[in-house]
Amino acid sequence: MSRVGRWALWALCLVWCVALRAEAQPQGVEAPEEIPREIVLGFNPAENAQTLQRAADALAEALSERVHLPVRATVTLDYTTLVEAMRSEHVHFAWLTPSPLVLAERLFPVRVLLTQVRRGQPSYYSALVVQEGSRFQRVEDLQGASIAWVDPTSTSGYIIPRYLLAQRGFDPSTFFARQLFAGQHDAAVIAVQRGQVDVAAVWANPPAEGGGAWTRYLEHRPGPRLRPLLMSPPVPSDAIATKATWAQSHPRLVRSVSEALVAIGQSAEGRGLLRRLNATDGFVPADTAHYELVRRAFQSNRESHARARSGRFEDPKTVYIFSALVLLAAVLGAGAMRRWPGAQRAAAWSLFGVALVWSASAARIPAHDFWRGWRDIGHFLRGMLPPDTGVGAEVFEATVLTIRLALVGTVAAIPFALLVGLLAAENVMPLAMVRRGARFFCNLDRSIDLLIVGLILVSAYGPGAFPGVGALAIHTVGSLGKQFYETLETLDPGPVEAMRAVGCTQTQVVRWGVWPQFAPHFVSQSLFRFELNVRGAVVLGLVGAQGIGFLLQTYMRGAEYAKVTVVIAAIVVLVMALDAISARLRKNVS
Amino acid sequence: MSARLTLRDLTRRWPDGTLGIDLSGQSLVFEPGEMTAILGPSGAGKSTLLRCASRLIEPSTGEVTLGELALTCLKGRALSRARGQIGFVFQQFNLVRSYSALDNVLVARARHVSWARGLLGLWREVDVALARRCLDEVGLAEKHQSLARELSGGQQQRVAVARAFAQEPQAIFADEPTASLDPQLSATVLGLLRRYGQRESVPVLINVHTIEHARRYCDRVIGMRAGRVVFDGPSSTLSDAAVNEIYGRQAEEGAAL
Ligand SMILES: Nc1ncnc2c1ncn2[C@@H]1O[C@H](COP(=O)(O)OP(=O)(O)OP(=O)(O)O)[C@@H](O)[C@H]1O
Ligand SMILES: [Mg+2]
Repeated sequence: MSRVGRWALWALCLVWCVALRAEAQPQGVEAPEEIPREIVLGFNPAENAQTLQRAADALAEALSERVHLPVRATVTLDYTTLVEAMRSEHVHFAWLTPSPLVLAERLFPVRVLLTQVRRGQPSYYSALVVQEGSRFQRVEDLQGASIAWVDPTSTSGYIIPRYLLAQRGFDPSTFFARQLFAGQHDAAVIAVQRGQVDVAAVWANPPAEGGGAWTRYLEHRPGPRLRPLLMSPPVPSDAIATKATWAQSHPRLVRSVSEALVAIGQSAEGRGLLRRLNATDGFVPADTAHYELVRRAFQSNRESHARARSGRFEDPKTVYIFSALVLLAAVLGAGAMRRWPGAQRAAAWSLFGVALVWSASAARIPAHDFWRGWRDIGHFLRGMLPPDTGVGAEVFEATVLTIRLALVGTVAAIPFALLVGLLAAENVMPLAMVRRGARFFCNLDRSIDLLIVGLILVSAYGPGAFPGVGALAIHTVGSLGKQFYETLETLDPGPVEAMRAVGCTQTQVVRWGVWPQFAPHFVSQSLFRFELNVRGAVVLGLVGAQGIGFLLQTYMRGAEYAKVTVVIAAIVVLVMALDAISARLRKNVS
Repeated sequence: MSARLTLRDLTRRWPDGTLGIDLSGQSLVFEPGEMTAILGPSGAGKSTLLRCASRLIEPSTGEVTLGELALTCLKGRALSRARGQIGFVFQQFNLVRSYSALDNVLVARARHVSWARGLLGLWREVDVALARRCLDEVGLAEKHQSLARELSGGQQQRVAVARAFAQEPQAIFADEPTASLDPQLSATVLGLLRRYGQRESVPVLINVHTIEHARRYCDRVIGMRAGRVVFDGPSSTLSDAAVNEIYGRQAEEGAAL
C-alpha cells in the first residue's frame, strides 16, 4: 500500500474512534459534577494592586469557609489578562467591570451571576458637567465646545456619555471641536473648573442624591462650581461572571458560590470586608438584560470609531505637511545628485525647519497654563516631604530584588550573547551565511526595546518577576551579542594568524588567538550590561515586573508621595553606587 | 625525517585581479638544512609567497609539497594540522600579550596533543619540558613566567622563534624576523634559525631586506620582483649587479643617499 494510503487509513481509524467516544457520552443525563481542587476568583486591578490583593484574599477566605473548598484570589495586570484567564479556566469566577465584561462576551459565552451593589444600588450614573455660570443649557449647546473624557476605556467617563450623544443623533467624533483625555475623573473635573475645557464626562451619584465626581473632587478646591448638564440612565455596576460552559458543567458549585457571595454581603463582617473592594455593599442576582445598555454603548462606540477612523487623519494638515516634507527631501536628493549645493543647502534647512516647527506643535505647550503646572508640582513636592521612612524595609527589599532580577537576567543571557557574538564575528566564523544570520538576529532583537519585550512577556505570563527577567535576558542577548562581535572584529589579527600557523583547529584558534584578547572586553562589557540591566529592571517594574519600579508605581497610584520619596532616593543611590562600583571593576579588568 | 619543500607553479591572484605572486612555469625546491633568503623590493610578493606556501592564505593555482605531504590537497582539520608542520615567525611576533612566555610557546603543541587537550590547555609534562627547552635554546630560560607584553621586542621575537621550534616543524618560514630588532639581536635571531635548520635538517626560508644578512647567514638567495623570481642562486654568487637587478633603480637611489 502506498504511503498516502496508509496515512489515510490511520486518519480514518482516528475519526472513527473519536466518533465512537462522542457517542458513548451519556446525553441528557447530567454527568456527576467534577469538583475542582480550588476555586479561583479573578480581579481586575483598580488603583492599588497591593491593597486590592489583600482585600481580595480576605474575600477568598470568607468564601472558602462558606463553600468548604480552597479559594484563591488573583489580581491580573489588566482586564485582557483577566478575560484570557477566564477563557482558559484558570479563573473560575471573575469580577468584571463593564468593558472586560463586553470584551469577554465577544470572545465566548459568559454567564453573569451577580451585580455589585454600591451606595445601596446595583447601578451607577454618568454625567456631562459644565461650569455653573457657563452658557451651556442644553446638550445641543455643546456643539463645537471642548470636552475632557476620562480615558477611552472608561465606561462612565467615555463609553456611556458618547452613547448618550449618539442616541440624540450627534456624531460624538465630530460633535466637539476639541477632545482630550484627562486620565482620571478628578483631572477631568479640574480641567473644567480651570476653564481648560468646557465640559467633562465623569461618574455621578444617583439623581436623587445629586453630586458626583465634581462634588467629591472639587470639595476642597477653590474656584467655580460645576453643574451636571446631562445625566445617564442607571448603568449596572460590576458583574460577577463565569464562562458559560464552565457554569454548565459545574451547576451546583456555581449556585453555592453565588449564594455564598450574596450571604457575605448580608453579614456584618462580610460587609466590612466588601467595603474595601471598591466600596461594595453586597451583591444581588444579576439580570443579564440589565447589561444591555452597556453592550449597546460599547457596540455603538466601536462602530463610531470605525466610521471616524476609516481612511481619515485626525488632523487633515498632516497630509499637506508630510507631502511638503517629502517634496523637500526629493529636492534635497536631486540637489545632491546634480551637485547643486545651493538648492541642496536651502532644501536641507527648510526640511529641518518645517519638521521642527511641525514637531514643536505636537508638544502642545500649555502657554497660559504653564506656571500653574509648576504650582501643582509644588503640591506634589510638598506631599513628598517629610519622607515616610517607615517603608524603608519594604523599599530595601524591593531594591535588592531588582538587583537580583538584573543579575539573573544578565547572567542567563551571557552564554547566548557570546554564542551569537562569536557566530557573527568575521574573524571567528568563516561562513558568511551564518554571520549574516547571527547579525540579523542581534539587530532585530536589539531594536525591540526592553519595555516592549517586557510588555509582551507580562501579557503572556502575567505580572511577576519572571517576565522581567525574561525581558532583560532576551534584550541582553541581542545588544550584548552585537557589542561582542563588534569588539571581536577589532582584535589584533596577529595572534589569530599565529595560532592558525602553529596548527590549531578553528576552535583552538578561537580559544588561544581570540579569547585571551577578548576576555577583558568580555568581562567589562558584561559588567556594564549588568549595570544597564539594573536600570532596565527598575523601569520594567512599571510594566508589572516586580522590584522597585513596581513599588514606585504602586505608591504613585495610591498618591502616597511621602513613600515615593523613599523609593526615588533608593533608586538614585542604587544607580550611583552601581555606576561607581562597576566603573572601578572595569578599570581593574582592562 | 628530513623533508624537502617543493613549490610548483604557485600563483596568487587578489580579488582585484592583480597577481600577488606568479611562479607559473617555475618550480622551487628547498633542501633539508638549507637556509634561503628571499630578497626583493617592497610589494614584490615575499610575504605573499610564504603565506601561500604555508596556506595561511589560499594560493590560486599550483602545489606545495613538504616531504610526502601535499599541502595544497588538504582541507579542514587535516589542513590545520598540516600547517603546524611549518614553523612561522612573524615580523610583528604575534604573541598573545597577556600570556606568559611559556604559555605562548605551549600553544605550539596543540598539533601534538588531542583536540580537547589542545582546546583546554591540558598540556602533557613532555610538552611543558619541550617548551622550556625551546625557551632555553633562545636564551630566555629565566623569562618563562614573564608576560609577553612585559618583554622587550627582541625577547618577544625570540619567544616567537621558540614557539616555532616547539612545533617540531618540518620547515621554518620567517617573514622579516629582524625588521624591528637592532643589528646585534638580528644576528642572534638569524643565528638561532640557521643553527636549528642545520641541526634538525629542515629547510629554512626567511624574508629579509638586509643583503649583508642574506650573504652571511644563508646558503641560497632568491630574488623576487613584481611577484616573479628574478634571481636564484647560492648566496656567494649574489653580486652587487645581481642586487641591482633585483631591486631595480631603487637600490641605486638608496646607495646614492
Ligand atoms: N590582502 C591583499 N589584498 C590585495 N592585495 C594585497 C593583499 N596583500 C598584499 N597585497 C598586494 O600584493 C603585493 C605583494 O604584497 P607582499 O606583502 O607579499 O609584499 P612584500 O614583498 O612582502 O613587501 P614588504 O617587503 O613591504 O613586506 C603588494 O602589491 C600588495 O599591495
Ligand atoms: Mg612583507
